[in-house]
Amino acid sequence: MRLLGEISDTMEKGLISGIMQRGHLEAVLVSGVADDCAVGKIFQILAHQKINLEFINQIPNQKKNKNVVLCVDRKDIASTLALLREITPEDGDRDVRYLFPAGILSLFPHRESALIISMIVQCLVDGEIPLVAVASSLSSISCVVGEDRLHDALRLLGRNFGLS
Amino acid sequence: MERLQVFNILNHEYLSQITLRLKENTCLNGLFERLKEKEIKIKFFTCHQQRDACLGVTFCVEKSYLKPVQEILFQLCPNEEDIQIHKDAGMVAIHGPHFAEIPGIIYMMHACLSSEGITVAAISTTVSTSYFVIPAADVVRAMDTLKSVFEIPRGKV
Repeated sequence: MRLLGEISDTMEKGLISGIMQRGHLEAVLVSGVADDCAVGKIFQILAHQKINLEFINQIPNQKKNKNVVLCVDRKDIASTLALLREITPEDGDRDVRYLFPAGILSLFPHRESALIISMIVQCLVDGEIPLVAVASSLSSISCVVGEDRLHDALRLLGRNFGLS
Repeated sequence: MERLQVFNILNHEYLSQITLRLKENTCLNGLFERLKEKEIKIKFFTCHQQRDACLGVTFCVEKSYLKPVQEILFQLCPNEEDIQIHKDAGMVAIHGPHFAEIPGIIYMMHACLSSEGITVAAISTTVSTSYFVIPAADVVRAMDTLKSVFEIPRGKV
């Protein structure tokens, strides 16, 4: 875990305990998954191959289907894509899309704070860092960014968050 | 079958779920700034870039805060087609130490809920916690079935 101490004087401080960074990941977007059964199949087939999902989020799309973003370790990406494409043929609305090499920054704690979400988004917008995906819990909030911008994102977050 | 030990299991029955489709990230920043001003806690939040480059966002707030949230949403997102609201949402979460070491925890949790016919509206997973948004009416049943698969320390539920 890397702790950051640089604090901006110009922005209201979001106090956190620390930031953890994780690289060497690959991000995948599975779009237009029809139902829970199909989502379950994705988790099942990856679990049976002992592929650990370092990041998962699922949200409904406008067509009432489900979109899923996954991150896996780089060593697992070829088998992950092969398995996903096997169970999710690219017909109609369903689509398995490899995104890019990715990293995750996790800020601790989140504590259900709208301020922290707002500040993270602002940092990434200011740094022109594409926001790939975010997931949150009571204890942390994790952002997926392209691996090539991971250090930029870390620097920006470090500049704008204070350590409690 | 031996149950998998976890740190805790969390649940919430009185939430409202909001799903948005935003064309610009800056809208998201403005939205959460306004929610912070109103001191509204974000019980669940997840988002990702979609195929069409729009940002898909799902978040949950306490049901009692839905009205002020709706007012902010309709000011910031004038296109009502981009907003979906489910008034009666709930949430279950597993907090455990194993997420990085044991593949398949999400599968176990998802299969457990699916076997009871419980619809999963959204999922958010961080370093050690997985949140599932489900219908409020199914939270008690979801807790019962999760307890059959995950072992929770005595006194935690």
